Amino acid sequence: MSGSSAPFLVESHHPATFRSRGVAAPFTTPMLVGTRIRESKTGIELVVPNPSGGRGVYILDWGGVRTLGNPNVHDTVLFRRVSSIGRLDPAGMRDAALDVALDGHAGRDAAAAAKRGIAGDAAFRLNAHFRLMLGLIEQVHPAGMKAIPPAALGEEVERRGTAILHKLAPLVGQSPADLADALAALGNVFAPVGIGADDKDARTACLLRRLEEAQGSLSDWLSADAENDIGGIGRAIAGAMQTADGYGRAILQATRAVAADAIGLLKRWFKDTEAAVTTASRADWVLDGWEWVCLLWLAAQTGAARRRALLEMAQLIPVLPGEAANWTDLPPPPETLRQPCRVTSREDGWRSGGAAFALIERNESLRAMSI
Amino acid sequence: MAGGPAPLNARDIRAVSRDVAGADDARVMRIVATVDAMSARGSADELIVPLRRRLAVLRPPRPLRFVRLMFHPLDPLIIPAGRWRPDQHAIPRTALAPLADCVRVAMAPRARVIEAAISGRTAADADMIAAQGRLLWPDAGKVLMSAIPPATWRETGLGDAIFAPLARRTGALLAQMAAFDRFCAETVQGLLPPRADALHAILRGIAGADESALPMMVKLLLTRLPEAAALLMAAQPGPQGSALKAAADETVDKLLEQLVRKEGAAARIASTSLEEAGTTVRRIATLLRQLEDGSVKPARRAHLKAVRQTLDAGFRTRFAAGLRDEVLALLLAGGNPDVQVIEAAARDLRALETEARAVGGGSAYDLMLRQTADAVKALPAETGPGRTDRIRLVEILAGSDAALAMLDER
Repeated sequence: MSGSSAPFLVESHHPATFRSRGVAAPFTTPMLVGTRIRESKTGIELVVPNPSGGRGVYILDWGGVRTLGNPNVHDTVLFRRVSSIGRLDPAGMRDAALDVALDGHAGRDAAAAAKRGIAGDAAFRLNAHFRLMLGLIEQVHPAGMKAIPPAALGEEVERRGTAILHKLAPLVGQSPADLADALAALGNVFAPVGIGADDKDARTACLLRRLEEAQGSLSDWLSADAENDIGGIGRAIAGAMQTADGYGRAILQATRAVAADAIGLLKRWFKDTEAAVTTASRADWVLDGWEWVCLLWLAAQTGAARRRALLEMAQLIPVLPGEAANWTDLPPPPETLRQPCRVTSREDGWRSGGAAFALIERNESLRAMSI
Repeated sequence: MAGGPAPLNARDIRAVSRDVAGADDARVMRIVATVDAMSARGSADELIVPLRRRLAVLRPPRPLRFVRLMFHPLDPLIIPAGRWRPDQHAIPRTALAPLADCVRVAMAPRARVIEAAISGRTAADADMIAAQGRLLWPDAGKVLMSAIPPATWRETGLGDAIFAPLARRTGALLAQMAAFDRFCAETVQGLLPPRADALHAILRGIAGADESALPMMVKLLLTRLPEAAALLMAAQPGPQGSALKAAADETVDKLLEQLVRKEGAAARIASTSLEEAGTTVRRIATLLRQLEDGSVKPARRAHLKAVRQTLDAGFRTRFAAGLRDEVLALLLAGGNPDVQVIEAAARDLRALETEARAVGGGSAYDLMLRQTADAVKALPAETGPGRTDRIRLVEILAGSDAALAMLDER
């Protein structure tokens, strides 16, 4: 863990798949913001934006990262936690990050936010499970639940759902208990996207609203005064946000359409669990890394802070991998397959030395604002 | 006015000022709010004079009035009237209201629009200041270039002969403040390199309007954007190049002298918040770095070395006081200290120290930080901040390696 290795710079970073793009790690060390972690043949490796702002990314192991950015305790603990999880995806990263924040390594506000986040995730999982069960009942008895008074709905869903699982079991070739477990597991993996078109509270829907809010606010600010933009960076970011929003919504809709067929979903689960999990996690992958970009913008309140935020955001715009074309009917515009803009730093003074302390505090406050 | 309170005379003011100087923070805030609420402050303004140092720490929200907006970009040039001399590159505070009166009268309807826009806002509203200031400053500059003394000028006691040159210099500066504000904004707080052509245009504008205002412009530039100092000191193009160079040299020498005076940088950072002190130290360190960049005359180099030594002592004193009063004292007081307040103070101190190291004193800072981190580690386990909070504090004070060792030592 402590040994350092020579970093190597990849001059062009056009990841073909979301997994090769890596999962955004919410590191708070200023030099490591924007870092992604991905699985490699030898374990896991880190994809760090070129610190100079120039083209390419650095591919490093943790030793290399320690040489490059002197990671703080929060980031070290998060890396250790992520290294030990079996599956590296946005959901796994989120769980690890919430645990680390809950322990207080990102400060007290982030710990309180993590507590709320963990409770919220549990509630979303329950809600998704309940909605899946409800969907299952409505598929079998289309008008069956309409006459049930709201107060009795929970109990009735449980009773009828159990009966339906018993009926379905021989048709699917599984035991009722296995079906019930599968439904709960599906509830867990589909919780972030939510079940049903009206699930506005699901995390992905909230994140898309945040993206839309940030994009709208940025566009309004740019329109208010032409001098607000810095060499077209703002427009490029707003455009990338709009594209990500469109992709996110398309993926959300597609994923929810899959989840609307509860029986079909159960069958898919038993036929190819991996594929079902991948389907459920697509929205997470597409939007991975965008929340930090949005928070940078939304946390900046003055014109000076916003111009500064633009320079930071420009380095962090997630590149859309070519794989995105297989996930929706929307062909990814060519400009989304590469970094839309770059800010080449003269020096690192803005995020190292004395400036780093305020930036860590700011980054921790962004963690506390995270959904 | 019949039945209203009698105006305060000088003796009353002096007596009240003595009381005010010893007032507690809450009373200071009330006094400032009361004076700020007066439509015509007159001699009541003097009540605030002994409080200015404390106001830098307390930072009460000051209403954004026409006069405050107009002189906002010139703030580093404003000094108490008692210290002002005609040959000084500064503006006496008592001149602000009469100069603003000239502009308000001349701009009549547009001034009212601006006053309506800033009504209810405070001087902390940087965006409002930029938006309305950029409308006001160029016109205010034009007005002052040919203004005649208003009736209120007599109250300043500065004499009629002073008005025209002071108004002209102030006008020359204000005429460029919208461009200067944009010039500074474009660097995004020093992150992007300042544009030489924009700076030269501003300096040419000042020199063309009133060459005697150049040193004041140089001071504004070095105070607000020290990152541009090297650009300024480089050879200036055009016929006014030598005048600009002379003004820059003169102002830099004066600025360096001011930094090491008894009431200079050390005194300023001693009486401001840690955050503000860190910002001041960063600006000074940047300025010194910029001034040492490139070819520097031996005399200037020697002067800079002496300035560094004096500043180093002042910075270390402020750092030690902050560490003692705003970190250690709170930790050792027992009970349940506000960890977030201590963390914020520790971060501000580290920011200050990191910048101050550029001026000198590295080993002294190391020692103080190590001792404080050791004190955090030695706190009784059953009281004060929890384990993770302590690790975070050690990280801020002594770095991530020390904190990781603490994390892993179980």
